[in-house]
Amino acid sequence: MLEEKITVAGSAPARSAVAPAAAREDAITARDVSKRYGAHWAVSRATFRVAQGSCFLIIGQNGAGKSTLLRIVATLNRPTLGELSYFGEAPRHDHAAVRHRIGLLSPRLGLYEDLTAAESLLTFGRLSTRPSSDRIHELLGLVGLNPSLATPVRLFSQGMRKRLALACLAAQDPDLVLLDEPYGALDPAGMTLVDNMVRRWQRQGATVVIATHHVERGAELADDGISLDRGRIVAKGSAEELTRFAAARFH
Amino acid sequence: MRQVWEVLRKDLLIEWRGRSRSTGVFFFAMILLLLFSFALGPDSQVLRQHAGAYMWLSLLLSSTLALSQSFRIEVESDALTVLRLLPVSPVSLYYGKAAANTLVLLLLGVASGPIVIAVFDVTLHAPIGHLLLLLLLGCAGLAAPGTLYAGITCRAKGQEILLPVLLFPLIVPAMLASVKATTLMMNGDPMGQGRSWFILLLCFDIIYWSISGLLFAKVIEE
Repeated sequence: MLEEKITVAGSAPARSAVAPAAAREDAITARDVSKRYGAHWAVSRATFRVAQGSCFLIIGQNGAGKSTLLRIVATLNRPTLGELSYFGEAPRHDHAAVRHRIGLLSPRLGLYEDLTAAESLLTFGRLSTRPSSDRIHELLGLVGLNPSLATPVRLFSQGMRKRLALACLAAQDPDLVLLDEPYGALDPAGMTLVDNMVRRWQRQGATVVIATHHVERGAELADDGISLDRGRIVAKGSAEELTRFAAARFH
Repeated sequence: MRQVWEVLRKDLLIEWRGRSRSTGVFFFAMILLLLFSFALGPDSQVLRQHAGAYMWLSLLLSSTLALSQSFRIEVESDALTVLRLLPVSPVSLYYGKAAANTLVLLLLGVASGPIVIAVFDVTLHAPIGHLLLLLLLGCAGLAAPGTLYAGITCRAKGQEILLPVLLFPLIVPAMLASVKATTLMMNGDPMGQGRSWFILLLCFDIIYWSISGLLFAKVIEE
């Protein structure tokens, strides 16, 4: 079994665009994070750091533990072992303060079937940042759903749902954006939209973590990342190094 | 309060949009009332005597469908995950959902009123406002622990079985008070006992709403 480890060894992120972020606190510091379900370790001793304002890539095959790790980072699941700190602080019991800075695009998207696109944005928006109706239209325009604002979500294709979920996520103005398989069910234009949204979040100073099978696509955006295999980190390094690692391991 | 209102508005809007589900619950309640009346037979005196009990029994059985539905929508779409990440306190989320469930059950109770009057040959011996207030308190007594237990069971296997098994023993006092007060309103209250049952129901409502609100944060976490 290939057990190559590409260590970052204190190197600067691959893209110079995020160099200023290195001086700030890390957005995420994970130390020996593990998660066990029964006898199965879904994530085992994951240790990594994500610089503030950077884009971090998590790759791995199905069942590698990417989604579990993202849910732990999102504070939705508690790690069995290990600890996480966010923006320099380690919440032990009360995750509320950090949780509200996190936005997650989960594979099931979290949309209500019976609401329209505009109502979905308003509902999630009102519960967080209370966006104006102009902002709702701006966000729907951003994801190309302005013509469908009065259409119920149940009539949307999977790709349109993902676009709407991205708009809902943008309405929350998160400091830490977690995208779980953002390219799934999207056409090429939709994939480009995800890329643009990630760049937009980064311009706004947010940190983005992408878990995806689309290694090369994700690597175009990412500064660095990790590769998971059966819950263990088998490689960490710059996006280019991860791409080479994935090419050698998975093809 | 703003967050409670937003959650309430969201739930009522979803309920309105998916009203075919609520219609199904309403018809279930109606069928139960008819079956109960058939079981009692044609004696109008017996029917009148037990109308209050069977009205609440049909509401109770239908409520398990409505309550579990309110959380199934959140879990099936994974919207609960999104809600947990929003700056919404679990307390606000609970009270918003419990208030929405109370209103849905109240509507169900009001809609079944004419059927109860017609089928069980009931004559009201109290102002209609009193009966509506009693319905509101009774539905609140059902919805408060019901929302909590629906939250507990929504991710469990066999939710349909678990919810009534957990809920029914807990709400016996509130159901008893609701049935007694309703029966007195429908059959007359010469000894003035209705007020005591009313107060007892109110006390249980306060207990249910306070404790359930406190416990809900633990329920929605892993």
